[in-house]
Amino acid sequence: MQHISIETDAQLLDALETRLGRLAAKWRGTNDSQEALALVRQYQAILRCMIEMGYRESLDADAELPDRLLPQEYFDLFKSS
Amino acid sequence: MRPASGFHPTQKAVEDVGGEAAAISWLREKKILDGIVQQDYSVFTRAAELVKQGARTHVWQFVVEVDDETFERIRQQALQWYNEKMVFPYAFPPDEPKVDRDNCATFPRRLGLPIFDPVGQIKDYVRVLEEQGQPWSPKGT
Repeated sequence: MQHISIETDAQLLDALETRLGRLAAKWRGTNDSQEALALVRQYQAILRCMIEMGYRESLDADAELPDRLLPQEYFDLFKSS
Repeated sequence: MRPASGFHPTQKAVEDVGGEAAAISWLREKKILDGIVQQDYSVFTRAAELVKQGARTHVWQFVVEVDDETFERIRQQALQWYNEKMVFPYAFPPDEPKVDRDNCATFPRRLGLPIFDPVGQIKDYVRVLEEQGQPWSPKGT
């Protein structure tokens, strides 16, 4: 297992962003609906946490779940005021 | 073929599903698009120009040393696929690599080239390039 050292919020957000990408890839790779549901829940919780921490970026395309599975808070980031 | 080629969905495949944004949504739904080897030299040069203008992008290269015979074999194969518009399935990567589909990061395996990560996720791919690659610029600049 790879260990990472996290000293700043930026490093934590980067690590969480990586985690989101892995979860999205895992979601694409599973045919088990229960596992998929658990992955989506974890994904949404992490993304909401990131947004609470100040994350304001757009994720890489392959790190995003389909729109219907992304939390509303993520779309709210890109609404024009 | 110019010295920078890439593998990505065909224009027709993108248009058939409704354009670029729709194609991204399509791929995020685990679906597949037709992909071909394409000339990306202009894409790379444009990105390199944007770097100079302060855009949040970088163009990296990762040099793979091969002998002359291997280089020629790879060059000829890529050229053949480019000229014939050979279609390969393009998909966003699942966590376990599948031999019947690729994205731009995993496609080099079909040419016998090493790939940084068997999954081919953008963030992991870019991280390796940042750590082990060198900045790229168009020839003659």
